[in-house]
Amino acid sequence: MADGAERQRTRALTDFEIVSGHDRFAVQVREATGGLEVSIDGRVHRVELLRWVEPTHFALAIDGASRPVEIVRAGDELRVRLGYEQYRLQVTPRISIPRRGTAGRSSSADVRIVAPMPGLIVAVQAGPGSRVEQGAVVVIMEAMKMQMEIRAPRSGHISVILVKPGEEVAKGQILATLKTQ
Amino acid sequence: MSAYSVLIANRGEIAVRIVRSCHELGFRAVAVYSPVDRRARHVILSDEAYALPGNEPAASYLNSAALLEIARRARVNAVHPGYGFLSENPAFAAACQESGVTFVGPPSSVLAECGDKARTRERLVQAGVPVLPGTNAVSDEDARAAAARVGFPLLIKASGGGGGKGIHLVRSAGELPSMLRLARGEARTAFGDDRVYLERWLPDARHIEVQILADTHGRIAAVGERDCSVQRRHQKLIEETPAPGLTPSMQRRLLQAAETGARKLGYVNAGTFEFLVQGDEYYFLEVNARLQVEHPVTELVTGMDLVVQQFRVARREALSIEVPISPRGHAIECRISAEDPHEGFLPSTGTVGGLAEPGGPGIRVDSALSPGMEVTRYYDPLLAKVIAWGTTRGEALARMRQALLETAVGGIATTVPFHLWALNDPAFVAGNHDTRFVRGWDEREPRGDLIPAVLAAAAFEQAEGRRLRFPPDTRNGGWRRAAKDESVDRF
Repeated sequence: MADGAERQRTRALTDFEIVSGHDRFAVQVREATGGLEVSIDGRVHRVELLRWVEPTHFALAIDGASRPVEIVRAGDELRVRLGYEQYRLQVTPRISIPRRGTAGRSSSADVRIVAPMPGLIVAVQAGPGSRVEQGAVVVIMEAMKMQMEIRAPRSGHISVILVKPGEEVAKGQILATLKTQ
Repeated sequence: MSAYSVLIANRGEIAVRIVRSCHELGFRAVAVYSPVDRRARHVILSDEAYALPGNEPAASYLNSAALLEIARRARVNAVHPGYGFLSENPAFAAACQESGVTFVGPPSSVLAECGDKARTRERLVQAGVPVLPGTNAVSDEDARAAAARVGFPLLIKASGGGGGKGIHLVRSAGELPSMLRLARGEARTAFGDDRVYLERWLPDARHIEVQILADTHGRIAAVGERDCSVQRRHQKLIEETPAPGLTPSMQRRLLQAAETGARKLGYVNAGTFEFLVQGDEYYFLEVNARLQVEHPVTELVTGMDLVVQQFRVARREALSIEVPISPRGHAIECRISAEDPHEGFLPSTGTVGGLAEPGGPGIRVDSALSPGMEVTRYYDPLLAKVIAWGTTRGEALARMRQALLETAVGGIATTVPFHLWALNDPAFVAGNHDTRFVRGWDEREPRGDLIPAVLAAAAFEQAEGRRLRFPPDTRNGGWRRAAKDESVDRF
C-alpha cells in the first residue's frame, strides 16, 4: 500500500452522529496529514477547514474544492451557512453520553416567552396571573429603531413577568413564563 | 486662513463617506460620536472629534442642542447632516442658519414642506403630478374611518419620517390598531414625532426614484433614476440604476415629473423624488429631502460626486454638471446590514471579530466596519454598502456576486446570504421583479445537498472538541492558503 505510512499516522478520533431535521448521518473523523478524512455513512471525503475571518468564517475544502463557510454555534446546534443557505445541525459524539433535553426540559404546561432579539423593553402588556389568549401581545421590544410585539405562543395565565419597561435584554433571555392548562 | 470646516452630524458609513469628500475638497472634517462610537471609523478618519453625552439617539445624533454647541466650539462653517437623524429636521436647519453655520441641505422652509407629506402631495397634484389616495396626519380615533376612505391594503407612514421607518402595511381594518401603535412608537423613537398618515398601497408596483440636484441659481437637474423595488418591511435592500425594463418614455416622464415637482417646491440641494410605477401609470410618493443611502449607484454611472455637489450648492456656487447627463453602464448596491435573513431579518448585535471586504474591478465599498467594533441596538443596522459597476447589468451583477462571496463580517449575522440568493434568482436576474420580490426568500425551497454542511460541522466539532489552535499563519490568509494547498495537492 503506497500510503501505508500515512495510514499509520492517521488515527480514529471521533465518531459523531449529525442530525438535521429528519436526516441522520453517522460520521467518522480521522486526522490525516494536511487535513481530515471524514467518512459519512461509509463514504470518505478529504476535508480541510481553515479559519478565514474570526470567529465565524472559514474556508472549507472538500476533496480539493474550496468554498467559504460560516459556522455559528447557537445553543445545542450548529448553524452552517454555505452560499445563501443555512443548515441547522445537531452534532453528538456517538460514545453515548446521555442526551440533554428530556430530563431538563420544563413541564409542557410551562411555556417560556423569550426575547427573539437583543433590545430594550418598551412596554409590558400583561401582569402576573393575568389570562392571555394565544397571539396576545405580552411585551413590546425595540432594537435598531424597530419595534416588535412579543406575543403569547399559547393561551394561558402569566406566571411571572421577568422584565420591566426600560430594561435591556439579551437575545434568548426569558421575558415571562406562561402556564397553560 | 484656516480651512473651510464641516461638522458631520452623523455616524456610520455615511459619516465616513462625507469625511472623504471633505478631504478631497481640502475641508476640515469635524466628527461627533456617542460613547459606543468612540473608536468608530468616521471618528478615526476625521480631523477633529467631539463627544456626545449618551448613546440613545436623542442624547447623541438627534441632540441638536449639543450639536449646535459643538458647531460653535469647533468654529465650523457648515454642518452636513447625512441621512436620517436630523437631516430633514427644519428646526435644526433653521437653528444652524441662525447661528451662522451653513446647513448642507435644503432650506428650512423646504424641509418643513417636504416633511409634511400630505402637503407635498397636494403641491405636486397642483403641478400635475399623479399621487395615490391618502390622508393628512390621523388620530387613533379617526383612523378607522380614514382607512375606509383610502381603501385596503394601505400603509401607515410617519408624517415626520423617511427611510422606511415607522411604515406598516395594513391589509384589513382588524390590523389597524396594532399597526398604528407600532408605527407611532417607531416614529416617536426615530423622528421624535409620532404623527402618522395613511396612504394606499400597490403591492405589485416597482419603486423607482429620481435623484434631483438644484442650486441657488435656479438650475434644477434630474440626474437619473434608481430602482429600489427590493424592499423588506419598506427597508430597501438592493438598489440599481438604470431601472431594468423601464421604457425610455416612462423614464422621461419620471425625470420630468421630479423636475417639475422640485421647481414647484422651490427645491434646493440634493433630494430624491420617490414614485411607484405600475404598468403605464406612475404615482408620486414623497420627497426624501437629503442625500440617499443609495446615492453611490448614481455616482458610479454619472461619474458625479453628489456630496461635492451638495457642498457647491451649500456655498451658493453653481452646480458643476454637464448636460445632457449621459450615464454610462450599470450600477447596483447591496446593503450589508446587521440583520439575520435566516431569522426573519431580526437585528443582530455583538462584537465584530475579523473582517473581509471585497475589491476588484468596478467594486466600491462604503463601510463603517472595523475589527472589534461593537454593533449595538441603538442605531440603524446598516453596516456597509457594496456597490458594483459594469458596462452592462449582467457584468455588474457578476461582479456583485463575486464581491459578496468575498465579504465576511466575523461574529455578526448580516444580509449577505439574502443578497447571494437575490443575485442568483431568475426573476431578479431577468429584471422582472417588483416590490413583492423579497417574499420569495421566505418561500424558497431549501436546497437538498446536506453533505458539505455535515462535513463542515464534523470538521468544526473536531477542532473545537480537541481545542486545536489554528496555526497563526492561517488566521488572516486562510482563504488564500486553502487555494494554494489545493494546487499543491494536485501535483
